[in-house]
Amino acid sequence: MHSATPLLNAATRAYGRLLRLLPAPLRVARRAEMVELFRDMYRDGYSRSGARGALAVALWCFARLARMAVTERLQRPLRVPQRFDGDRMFTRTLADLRLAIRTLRRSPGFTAISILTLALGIGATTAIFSLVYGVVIQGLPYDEAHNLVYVDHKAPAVGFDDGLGGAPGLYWHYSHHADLIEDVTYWVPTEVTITGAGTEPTRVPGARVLAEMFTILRTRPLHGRLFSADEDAAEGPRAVLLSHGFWQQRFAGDPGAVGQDLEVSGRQYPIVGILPPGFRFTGADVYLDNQRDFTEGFGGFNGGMIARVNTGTTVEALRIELDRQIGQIDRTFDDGQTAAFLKDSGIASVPIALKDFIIGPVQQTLWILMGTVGFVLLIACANVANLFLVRAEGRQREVAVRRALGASRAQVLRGSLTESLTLASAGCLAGLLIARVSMRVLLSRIPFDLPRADEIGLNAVVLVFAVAVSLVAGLVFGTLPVLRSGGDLTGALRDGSRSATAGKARVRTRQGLVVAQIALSLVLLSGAGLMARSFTKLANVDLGFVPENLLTFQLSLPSSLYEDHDSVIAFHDALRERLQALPGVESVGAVRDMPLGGRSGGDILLEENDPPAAGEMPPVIWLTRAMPGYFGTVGVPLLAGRTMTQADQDDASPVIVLNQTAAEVFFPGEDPLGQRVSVGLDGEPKWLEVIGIVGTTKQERLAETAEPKAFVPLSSTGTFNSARRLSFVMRVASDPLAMADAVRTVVRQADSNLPIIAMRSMDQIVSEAGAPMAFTMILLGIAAGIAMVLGSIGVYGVISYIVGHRTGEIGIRMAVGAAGPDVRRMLLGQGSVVALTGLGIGLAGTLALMSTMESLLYEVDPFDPLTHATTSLVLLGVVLLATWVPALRASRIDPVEALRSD
Amino acid sequence: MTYMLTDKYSSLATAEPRVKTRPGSSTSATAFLPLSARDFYILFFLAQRERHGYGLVKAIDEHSSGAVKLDPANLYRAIQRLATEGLVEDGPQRTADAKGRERRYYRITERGRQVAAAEAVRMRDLAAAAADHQLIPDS
Repeated sequence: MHSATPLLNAATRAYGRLLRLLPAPLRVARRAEMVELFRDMYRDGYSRSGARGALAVALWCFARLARMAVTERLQRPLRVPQRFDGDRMFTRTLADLRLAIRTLRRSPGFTAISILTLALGIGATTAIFSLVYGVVIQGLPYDEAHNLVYVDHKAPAVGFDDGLGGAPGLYWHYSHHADLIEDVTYWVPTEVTITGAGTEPTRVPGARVLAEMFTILRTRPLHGRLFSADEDAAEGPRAVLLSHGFWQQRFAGDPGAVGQDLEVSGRQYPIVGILPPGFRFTGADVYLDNQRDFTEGFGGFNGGMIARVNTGTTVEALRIELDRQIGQIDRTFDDGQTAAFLKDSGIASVPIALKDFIIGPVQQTLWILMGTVGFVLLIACANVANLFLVRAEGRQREVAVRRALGASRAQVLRGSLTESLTLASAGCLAGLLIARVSMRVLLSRIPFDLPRADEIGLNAVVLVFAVAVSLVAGLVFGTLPVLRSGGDLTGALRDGSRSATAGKARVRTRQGLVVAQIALSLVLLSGAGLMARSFTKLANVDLGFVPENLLTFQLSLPSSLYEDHDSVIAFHDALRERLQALPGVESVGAVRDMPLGGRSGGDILLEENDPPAAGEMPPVIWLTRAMPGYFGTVGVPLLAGRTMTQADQDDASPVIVLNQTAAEVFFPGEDPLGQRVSVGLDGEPKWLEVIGIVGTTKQERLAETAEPKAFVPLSSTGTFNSARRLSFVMRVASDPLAMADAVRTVVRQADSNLPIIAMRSMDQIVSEAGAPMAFTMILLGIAAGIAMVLGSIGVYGVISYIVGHRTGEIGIRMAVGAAGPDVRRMLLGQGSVVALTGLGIGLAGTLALMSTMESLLYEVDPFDPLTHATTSLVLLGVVLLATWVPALRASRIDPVEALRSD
Repeated sequence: MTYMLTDKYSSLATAEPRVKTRPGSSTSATAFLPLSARDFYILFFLAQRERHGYGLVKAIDEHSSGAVKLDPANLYRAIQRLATEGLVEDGPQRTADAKGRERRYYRITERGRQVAAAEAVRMRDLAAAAADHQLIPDS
């Protein structure tokens, strides 16, 4: 019974709270007795069936109480005065609303500027929020998605800190031995060529998956079925599943596609099912069954792995378990070599929540953008609040009269709030329009693959967000003027707007708002400045080759048509000759992975004269096949020795070319030329002679650190990546894209069944590589620009206000001998105080916030003094300019006029 | 008998809203009829002796074979209403079990007894009428 007491007490407390739902008379009269009876019944339930029984009793009592509370409240007659109140409130609100609209229509300039300012702020915030919500906040469209984990691996001993992916051997081992996992699966991303009667061959993303993938993601097919266990088996029947998008595009959404055959890379596959529209995992269009015999060996890290973990398992607990399993790999592969390989390369698991894996690094960019537009909204609100203060000023006497006639402060506040909320609602509507339009533009212009882009939209959550933001904004700038108007009723009545003390307080409020605007603007401006500097550095980064006048495209020869290595090489050689013969073509080369085209084929490089010590792993090198003429064509400089020639293609005396980084990593302080190296650990080493050193190029991204890379002749035999897939590069005399059609024709003549993949100029590729940063920079720049304009309008308004407020005083000063320049100096001085205070606060804020931007920057310190000094000076200049205009006007005041008007 | 039954049904069909009375008012016992099963059970068990809330809940549950189950909120809403109508009243706070827990006891008023009796008569007549019409199978 003792163990029941804490639960009993908790349940009793909950019941006690629920009792508050009851109408007061019953609750007051019988509360203690109801609670006592509840405890008795709970104990009774416990003694009959333990905790389960007690819980059932408690839940039943809760439910009955709730139901009774509802019926009691519904049955109680509505109190007459209450209904009367409701009616009156409604009528009153309606009247307030009518009055507000009438008042706002009387000052169309004020109304239009306020609505526009708010609409900009609300629109920008809503647009970015819809991105953040769709991509980052919203849950993944899979059942119990929180239990899904992407299982990455790392091999720090050979230079991989993450991103290694998964290997078939590890999948097999985990699925048989790992605890904490409900299910795990492995897939290999691939690209396939879809051919068929009467259609252009197309290259589409594909994936080789196991039936388990769909169990783990709890996918149900839209039509047909998913893979069966037979189809998973090595040598099992072939089958293909289509993504919803591909099915729509290729079969126009015809359910009859199921059962038909699809020609995938030259082989017929029966279509067994269509995946549902929400299924976008791996991004593939075509899913083939991965018919691998997983017992045959460990395999390489060339796929991805996801797992569904038992509920409550943390990523960290899973990591510990998987690492423990890696240490016990010999339970599955007892050859000794596998265990040694895993140990020497330091293989360890890197599980990541699937959502984080899918969203990736874009998450941070989105949050930074969200913060940015939030700042713009704040600045917009400050401006509208300032406008409201000005208006409140003009209407002070009206308000004072209303209050003298008996209106309470609350009533005055209600009037002001109705106006501000009306404005905010209009701003919200216009803002939603802006959001809709700008989202469409944004999504069509986003230069990188935004994950989950199709889940973005103006949905209910985004609408609620926009309405909430508008409501808060309306409340803030509607309340502020009334609170600031103070209680000095007689003063206001006596001399209108010239009450000196109230005037000072108002000036302070407005100055405070402007200080905040300047501070926020500086933060945005500095962010944009840092991005701009990064972008300049990135745009001037040394690519290691000459991108101008280069046309590139890729080909992939299917094994069904080009069965052996020799036929592949022969095709490529012949094609190169044909392309070379095209008029306007200066040279042609081909390589497996061209610069900025990604990398593949990472492997171990062994030196003949310097074999690694036992238990030591040499660094990984990226190996790629290249045709003669490749280096000259892309403009990679030859630093020493020679590059490969047609004579090296026969593989009689195997050769290899290293890039500069590889030469420095593998042969520090030595001459690599003439040394012999071999690739991979399997079998007898095949020694390749180093014949040349070439410059290092950017391989994946503009902002990457140099990596060791080596080139072997296209025709080389050995454990290198296949020669089937090749990127052609052509240096041409004029506009590369103008050559595209001629090139297509040549390729079609060579083989009409080959799809040409990604034909682009190298300039395009380079500019796309810099696009994500340019995009972020431009968005930040726009936000900073808007902020600066709104901020300077604010400053202008305040100084104008001060001038207007002090016309009399300025008149007196000038009457007693002050000259125009003195007046200007005085006003500029006041403007500078406001500006410098804002800049000081802004600088502190900037320094506190900029470290969040570090990962977006390239070779620029987030605390870069030059950037921060420049942005501060620019903002100071703009603010002083905004001060100068009203100051100039003030210095031209005619003292006689000024004194007369006072 | 037929006449009586028709009469009773018609009086049920056109039943007036329940008359709410204050304690001490002189409304006749039949004005409260028909009682709900819950109210009748409460009066019935309090007519036997004073009981506390838990005692009532258990007695009603057992006697109705679980057909009438009362939770604290519904029981006390009924008790509160019956008390307002002057049919039951709060008794003393007394030790209720071996562990020395104190509970409030409730007792039926004279008026409550009359109402319960009137309801019992009504049900008896109804049962008799049902038997006359062979609604209840002969045992």
